[in-house]
Amino acid sequence: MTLPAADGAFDNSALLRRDRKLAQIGLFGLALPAVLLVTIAIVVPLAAMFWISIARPDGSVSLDTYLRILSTPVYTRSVLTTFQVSGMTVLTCMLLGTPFALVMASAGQRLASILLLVVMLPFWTALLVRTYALSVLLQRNGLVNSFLIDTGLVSEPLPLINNFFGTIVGMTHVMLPLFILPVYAAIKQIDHNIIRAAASLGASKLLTLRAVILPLAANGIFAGAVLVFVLSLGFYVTPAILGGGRVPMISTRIEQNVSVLSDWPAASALGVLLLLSVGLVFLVTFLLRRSIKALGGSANV
Amino acid sequence: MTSAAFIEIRNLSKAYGSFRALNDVGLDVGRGEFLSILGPSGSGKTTLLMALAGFVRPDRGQISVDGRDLVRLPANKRGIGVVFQNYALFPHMNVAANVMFPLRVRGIGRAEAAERARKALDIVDLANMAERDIATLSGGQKQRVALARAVVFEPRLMLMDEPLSALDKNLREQMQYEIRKLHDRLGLTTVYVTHDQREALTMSDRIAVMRDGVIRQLGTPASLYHRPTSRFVAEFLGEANILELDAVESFVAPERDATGAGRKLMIRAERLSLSDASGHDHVSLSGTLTRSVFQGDSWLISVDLANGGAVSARIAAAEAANFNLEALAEGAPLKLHVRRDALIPVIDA
Amino acid sequence: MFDGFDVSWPLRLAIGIFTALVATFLLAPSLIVVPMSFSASELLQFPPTEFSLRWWQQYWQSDLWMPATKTSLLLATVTAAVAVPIAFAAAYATTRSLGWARLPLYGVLLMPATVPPILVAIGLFFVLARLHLVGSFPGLWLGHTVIAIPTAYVILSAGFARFDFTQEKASRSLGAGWWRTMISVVIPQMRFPLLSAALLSFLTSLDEVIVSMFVGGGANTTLTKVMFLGLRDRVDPQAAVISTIWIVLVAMVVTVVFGRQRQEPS
Repeated sequence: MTLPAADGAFDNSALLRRDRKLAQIGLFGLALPAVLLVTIAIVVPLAAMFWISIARPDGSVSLDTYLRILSTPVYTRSVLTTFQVSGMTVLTCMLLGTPFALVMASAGQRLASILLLVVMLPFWTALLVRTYALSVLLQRNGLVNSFLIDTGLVSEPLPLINNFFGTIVGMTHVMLPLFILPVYAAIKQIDHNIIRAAASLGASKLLTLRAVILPLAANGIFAGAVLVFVLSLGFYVTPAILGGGRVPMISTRIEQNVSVLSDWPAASALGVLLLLSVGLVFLVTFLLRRSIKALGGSANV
Repeated sequence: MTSAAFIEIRNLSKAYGSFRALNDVGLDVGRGEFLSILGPSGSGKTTLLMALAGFVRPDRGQISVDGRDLVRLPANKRGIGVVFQNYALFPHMNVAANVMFPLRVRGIGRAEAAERARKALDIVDLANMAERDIATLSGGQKQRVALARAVVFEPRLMLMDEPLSALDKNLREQMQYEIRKLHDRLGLTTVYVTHDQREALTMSDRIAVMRDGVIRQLGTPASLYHRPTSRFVAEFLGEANILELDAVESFVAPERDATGAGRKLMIRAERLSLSDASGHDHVSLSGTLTRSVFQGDSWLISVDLANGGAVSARIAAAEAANFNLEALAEGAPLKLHVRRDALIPVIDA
Repeated sequence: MFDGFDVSWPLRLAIGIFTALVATFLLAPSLIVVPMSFSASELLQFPPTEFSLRWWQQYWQSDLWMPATKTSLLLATVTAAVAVPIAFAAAYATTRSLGWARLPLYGVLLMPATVPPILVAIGLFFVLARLHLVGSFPGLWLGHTVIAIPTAYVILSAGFARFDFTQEKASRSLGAGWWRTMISVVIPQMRFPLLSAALLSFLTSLDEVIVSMFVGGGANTTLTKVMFLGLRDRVDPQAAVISTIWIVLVAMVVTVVFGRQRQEPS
């Protein structure tokens, strides 16, 4: 119902619109400090790096640095190694983490919370501390080698660090909790009645696992794998320490280029390549998810 | 309503994208009045209340309280008490601290605030619960604390957003009575939003029925119930039979010409009776019984009318016994009687 | 989960052994450093053959480790003190709806977590070198704060997602202004997310290696830088001492925080 306008009434829509704008600007203002800090500390430096990677000393733009990198074996090998290490880390995380998450999800309340604590504890220990401890365990006369020799499994100490193997062990140790948690969360979300239904329909354990649980957990496994892969691509500390200089990753090459060679253009170009790789993984993930959704492939991927 | 109304709402509009939550709403509320806004979900009733409280910024329009336009005033400067659907009590404060909060915010000293809070809690019969934690209260007690907190600072106006929807039926009826009693005692102008028609009919001085961002009808509970102007209001407020205008023989539209297009005839189910009371102020409808359902205090019967259409009639237990309704088989011929002034022409929308 | 099935004992045993092995792998590095710190040996080994407090003594008197410890603790405190309020404001703003701006804001605020830390480090190094701030406390602070922002932001956003904003409306309807509402109603109810965010920001800073490597130095050398250089060049048993202190410290804080949270069901 419409009543006649009150005395002195006027169209106040412009004023109200301004009030709304001001409130919105106020909210922006609250987000501003965080945005400014990120801009100063990350966006600007990355932009500078990009510029350095394409600028010649005379100020003109070229792809010289990139061409140099792609034709230098030292650099192409580091790109290859980075992807090998990352892929291998994802693989070991899947092989160890998926069954572990399954056990966690099917364990009783007490055991489950103990296992959860086991997964969380590494988070609360410094990355360097863990890497350090691993290097002690894996060194030539470390606990692992003594055990292997004492039990007569090997006669000579195995080279377990300062190589590819040591790097993978270290990376897996860092990434495994990050992989287990999303997988565990995904398995936990599965409706138990579905599994009971599978059992009542006469499905074997293996079939239930393969046909029911793993497809439903695929969402978490996928998320965990992407997370681990992306983080591994740029990882520095573990390859630097446990690789002993024999596992050249992009990240360690960048570090060398800056602190030893002072080759900023090469470091920047490698940085841009690293960033592009990360971006590419995210893009592929996004497209994959969308196309699977578009195909009506249900909500489980 | 004259311009002396306590609350004057004019041309109030609010759109969320293409959804028009409020569409040029106008409403007057008198000083000391208890007005309910009734409507289904999505009708705009809560948006209207939140615009009054200052939590929804309308696109345009005026809201004046006591002669002062406050549409651009921030919520905390309006001096309006609000009771929310989930009570919104502060869980990190005890009962007394919750009730003292509006006083402390206004710079009132601890001693005076405590004294006034005690009085407010006394009004809602919770004086002995002042030190309790919010988490330990029952739903009804939380409701009372919310009421005490909303009135303790002597607001000029009280708004309630479906405050009883979380309570069970018995408690709800008791709280309806208590809220109304509190209103009468304090003389506080109250705007009360609900989707429960019985609650609105029970508590209100007047009811505004909303749909699609528009107030469809405004009036006292009795006038709304007995003389709805539209099919929507008729059906929303009770059991309504909607018939074509020519379904009742010798029907002459009362009061006004009802021959316009898009009009229907409405009869409340409980106004139809089996008792023969023919006379010039009654009409009778003949038909056949299609269904009868026993509902405890009454029977609900369905009748196919001879002139086309069908009606449901609610027959009180005593009358049903008189006519031995129980023995009546489906298909039995039947005559229903209704007073002429219970034939209400309504807009078919 | 498998309550509809019976699991044969050999399978049970295999699952048990596998689980125990993975658990050992996850736990062992955190656990062995404690006894190692009490080793008497010059060489780093586990298990230690003889015990002593010599490394603890040396740590206490070290003019390398002690200043670095102080720097790291101060840096972590200042990082948490700045990152948490900033992330709190941003989380509040993005939760209260910024319309179309919300998604790009997520992107910016989570950027420090998606950009590889080595790039953050050399980027900062490059910018700070221009400003002659390499080796300065503010330079370190900037880097650590930015790296802590996504962690704090995610925790606080999750907190706000569970926060009932009717509380805010109620407070305002009762006459409280924006600040008063924040201080008396919003912040008290957000105390656990705030505490978690502060704790994790603190740990993030304490744990940070690469920015500290590039940007720290001189009087502003962090613990992680000393440890990292020590580990890369020569495995030093004193690292076990600092690791032990670290583990005990974190265990204490976590116990306190989680213990209180369990007491007060929210």
